[in-house]
Amino acid sequence: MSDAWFVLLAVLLLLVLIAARTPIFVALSVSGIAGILAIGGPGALELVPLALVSQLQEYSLVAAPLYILFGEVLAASGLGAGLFAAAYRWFNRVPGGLAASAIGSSTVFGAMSGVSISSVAVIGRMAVPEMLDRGYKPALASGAVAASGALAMLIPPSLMFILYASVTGESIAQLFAGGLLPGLLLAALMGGYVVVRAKLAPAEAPGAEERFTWRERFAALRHVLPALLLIVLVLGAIYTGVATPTEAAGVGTLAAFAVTGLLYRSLDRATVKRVFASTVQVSGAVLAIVGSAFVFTQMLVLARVPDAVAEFVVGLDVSPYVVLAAIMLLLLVLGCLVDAASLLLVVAPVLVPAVEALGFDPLWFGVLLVVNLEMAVITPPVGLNLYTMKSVVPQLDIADVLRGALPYIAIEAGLLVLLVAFPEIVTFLPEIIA
Amino acid sequence: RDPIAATYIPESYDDLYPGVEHFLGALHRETGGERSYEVFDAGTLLGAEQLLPGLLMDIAELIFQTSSYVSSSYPALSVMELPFVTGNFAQHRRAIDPDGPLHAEINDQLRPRGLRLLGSLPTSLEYLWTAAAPIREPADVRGMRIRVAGEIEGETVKALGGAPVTMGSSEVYEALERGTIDGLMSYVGTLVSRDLQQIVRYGTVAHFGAYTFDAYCRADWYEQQPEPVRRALRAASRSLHRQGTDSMLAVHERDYLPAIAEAGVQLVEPGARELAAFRRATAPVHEKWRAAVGPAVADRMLARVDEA
Amino acid sequence: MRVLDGVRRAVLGCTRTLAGTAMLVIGLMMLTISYDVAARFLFAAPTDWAYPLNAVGVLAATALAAPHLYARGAHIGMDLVHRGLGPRAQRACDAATAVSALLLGVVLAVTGFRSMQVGLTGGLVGAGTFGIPLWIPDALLGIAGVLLAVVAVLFPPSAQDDPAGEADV
Ligand code: NA
Ligand code: NA
Repeated sequence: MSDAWFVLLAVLLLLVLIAARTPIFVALSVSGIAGILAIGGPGALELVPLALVSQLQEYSLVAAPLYILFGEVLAASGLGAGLFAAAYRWFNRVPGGLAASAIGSSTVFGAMSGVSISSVAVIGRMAVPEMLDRGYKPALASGAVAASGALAMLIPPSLMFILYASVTGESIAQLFAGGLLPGLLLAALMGGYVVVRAKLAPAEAPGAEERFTWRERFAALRHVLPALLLIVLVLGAIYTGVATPTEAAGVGTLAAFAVTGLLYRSLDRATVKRVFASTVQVSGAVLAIVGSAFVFTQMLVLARVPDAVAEFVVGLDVSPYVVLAAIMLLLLVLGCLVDAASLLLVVAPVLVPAVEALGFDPLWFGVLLVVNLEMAVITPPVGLNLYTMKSVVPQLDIADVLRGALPYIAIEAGLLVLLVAFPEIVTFLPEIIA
Repeated sequence: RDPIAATYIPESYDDLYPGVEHFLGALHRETGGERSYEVFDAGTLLGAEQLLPGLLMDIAELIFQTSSYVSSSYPALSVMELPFVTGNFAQHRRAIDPDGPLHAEINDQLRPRGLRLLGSLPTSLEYLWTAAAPIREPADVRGMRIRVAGEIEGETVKALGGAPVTMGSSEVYEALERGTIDGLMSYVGTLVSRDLQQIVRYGTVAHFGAYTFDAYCRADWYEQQPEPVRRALRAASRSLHRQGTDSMLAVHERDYLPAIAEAGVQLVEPGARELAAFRRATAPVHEKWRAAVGPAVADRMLARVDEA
Repeated sequence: MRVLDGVRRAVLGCTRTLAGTAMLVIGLMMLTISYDVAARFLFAAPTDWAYPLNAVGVLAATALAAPHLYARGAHIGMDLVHRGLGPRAQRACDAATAVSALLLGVVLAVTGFRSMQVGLTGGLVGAGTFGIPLWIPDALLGIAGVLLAVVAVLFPPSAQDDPAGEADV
């Protein structure tokens, strides 16, 4: 049998194991190991520890657990509730005000967390029950949170950009800069959508009676101000070049401990322990996938799949934009079947050489890829944000959650078209800081 | 399937990559087409830090690797990396000839620990490149953060009073731009392949270090090869050392040096007095290395270098 | 059955200790990077150890945490197909998961320790002025492999605390 068949069988094994609820990191490693064994024989299995060491000791990954810790510490300060309260005082008069507030808080929360599921969990736990109480339709309420939670991946700091940097060698700082405008644009599009929707169908999102004074609005802002300043300082240090993203993560997290402990006074022993425990859980779970995805990738390298893909793509006698569109469609389909981190880690090494050969900027492609992941986390059957939503608000029907997320897939597809038509939306900021 | 040869150098490094092709081409030719390799370059299968373990664990049969990655584990290899160890590049190149006595001496040291150096392409000498202020004498280095790739380079920077910084070569441009580092120690190839001449303003031309781009195999694997194959391997090593070095020098002459000049990098050539001061300041690096390989071995190796 | 519970508790104590060490490692990463930044800006003297130690730190935290997360069912997995299956098919899926995890543990233990041995006998260290011996990350992988194999047997998916998947990751 030829290598191509072995690769195909390994991919099949991967999908079967994922469907069997095998932890993703086990599924990736075992299918990678099976492929390596078939292609290179037992001796090639020594590639397994080499691949794990090489990928997990990639220095750019140092930023990953630190930004996760950063987000966990700030979340422990009760900032999520503070953000939502503030957003609600500012947005409650617009149609769909609660949903717009949820999207607004997800946007800001996304600037302090690199992981979309924690955003969904923190914002969803507060905002969705509130919306349901006020007569919002479940689909509208849950969709807004499940989709906007993913903004954490596009708005820096972003774990996905760190992972992309670790497999492609692109600069984390430039990727962070590249994600900022598309992230804000996507937030605005999502907000615009709920407002228009609430205006057209008021029954889905009844208007609010409450009125807030300007004093109340600013008081709510004051509460979240120290944390917001910290976020601005961390991102500012990266954009002005004072610190690398990793340095900013280390110092910023130390400062986050100080702010949460001294200003918000919400750091006792138990909280510190909980913060570290959940940091280890989130980063351990993600980094296990990072390492094992590389085992899988090394199997593809051994079979020369990336070379073959680049050669095939370059040999196609069509416009590079047609190829790009085909790649985006493929990613949409794969995004239904595989989780975001694995999708990024497996396809980036295979596709980036091909995309570069077509003459596209790998930094820009990285941002497109993350917009694809925004879709992947809300498309069934494998859409982590959907199930996170369901698990934090158990009274929701999963069918409503799925339905509520659908319009956002269209919005994100629209954003992709915009980013292809106007690449400057992505490249403008990175070029300034470069 | 063909055995694997691996390197972290991508094909786009047009000064060093031809060395790989000369080696494998000669090996293929000399064995009458019998030995051909499946080449994984650009670190796709084994990254820079995984080449040596990958070789020792038999993933790859041959690796092409820069000495600075290997010499931390095998200090005998550092003899050619020492600051001011030779008077000039021509002597440097003669010293590391695969048919010469130093090459044999190095392999005597590597063999007990399972490694064999097949042949070397000496890269051109390493200068100190800085972005803000020129280095004219050792005192100028004090307090500077200098990016280095290997242990001996790091010790040299320390001996000069600077702080060595380790980072991937892809990060150097940004780090220079932001002042995370003040300069780097490297040969012209690293400078130009990362476009650093655009941001570096001064280069201090002296023999602060040097490394070799080498072909390695396992010692026991080499012993097991039939004599005709070993002969072919020696011919391939000669080809790496001769044609490989020639094509590196030609590329530097034709493209790299003009690119550096065109970017307006100012070359500082220290006078005899300053050179002597640099030599004195870096003497502790030689002492540390002597202690690492043992004085008797060190003396023998240095004598071979002097004779070359 | 009581014996099995005792063994499970003992193993869980062991994996929990390692996961606790992973927490410590991440805390130390934050502190050493902050120290390095301070040393660089205040004294123009960056350390040569912060970079290589933190790179190993990521691998260490991951390897130390992975077996415990498996035993607790806290790794990321996808529940959608599984939850729709009948009890027999579910049992078959869980068996496939346990066998896969056991296989991964064994491969990781065998290759990790062999790689460690090569690193030790070759005296291999990382490049740079602060080179970390290469056998250290390999040893961590080997240990993670052994424990993963053990928890794969002792904690099949049905015996884990939470269902895999949407667990609070
Ligand atoms: Na974010
Ligand atoms: Na999906």
